[in-house]
Amino acid sequence: MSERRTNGPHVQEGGEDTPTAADALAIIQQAQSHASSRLSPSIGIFYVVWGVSWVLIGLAWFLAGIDVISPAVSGWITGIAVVGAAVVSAVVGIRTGRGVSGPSSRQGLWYGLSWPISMTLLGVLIGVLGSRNLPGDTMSVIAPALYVFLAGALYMLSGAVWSSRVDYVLGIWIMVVAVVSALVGLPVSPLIIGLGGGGALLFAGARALIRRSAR
Amino acid sequence: MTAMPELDPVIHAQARLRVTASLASLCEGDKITFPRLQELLDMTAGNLSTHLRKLEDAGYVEITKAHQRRTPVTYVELTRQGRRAFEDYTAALQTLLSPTATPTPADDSDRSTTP
Repeated sequence: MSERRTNGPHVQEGGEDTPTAADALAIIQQAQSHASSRLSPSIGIFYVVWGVSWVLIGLAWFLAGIDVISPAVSGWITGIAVVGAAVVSAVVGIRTGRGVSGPSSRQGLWYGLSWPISMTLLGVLIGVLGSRNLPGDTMSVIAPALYVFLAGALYMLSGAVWSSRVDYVLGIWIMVVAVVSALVGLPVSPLIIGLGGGGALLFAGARALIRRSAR
Repeated sequence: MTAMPELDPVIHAQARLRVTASLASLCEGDKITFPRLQELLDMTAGNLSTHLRKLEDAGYVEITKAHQRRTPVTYVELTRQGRRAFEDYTAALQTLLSPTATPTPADDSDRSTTP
């Protein structure tokens, strides 16, 4: 590897100048906060997107429960809200991780996939439960509560993995919401999930986005 | 502590400092593609490769070439030695700025997604 060294004016590359110690520290802090904000996904976006999705789903099923809209419409709203939020999450996750490979991207991929895998398997489990002649009313309270409970458990685990207190507390709160929704039952249970769980996600998301932009 | 610590000349230049600090913010063992690093630092390809070569010559940076679906990809990562040198450099800076305080090594292991 040869290095050309001439005294031509354009060969003097920028950035050869030596900063003072204070400037050097400032450069380090600026470079590192810039790099980590660009290379790690903004968790606030995930919270907000899923918060909106949960509120929509909760409201849709509450309205279906009091015969304002048909269950078919609620089903469509649920499908669109889940697929939309999943697509946004996947795109944001993949975009921020692009160009980086190694242990952390593997961890991110496994973490990201743990959501659709566990949610899909829970769907199968609920299908099995449904085929066991459980009363329809029980199923329409238990099934969403199980999804919410699983989401809460995954958030709690995320909090442990990324050492995030917000995720951890949010996870516990969401599991409590799931239990309360099952205790209260229809027609209010979807509203409890939508506002209690979705509201908490929106709160955490707004807080995270404000803090990130203030950084 | 009478002698002032010397600052590693390989790192102590504005552009290389930015390169090293950004690479140090990756988790240990992670590598980044040349174009993404370039985009992150907003440097020209020529300028970045010049500085990377100096860091590579010092053993601070490892550059690997791989192929992804027949497209060549250049990965850049901080070596263990480079990470160590950066930590020593940061500690030296802190000693220079407050000679009485004991330097605390830069802690980049605490990387979480939370803001």
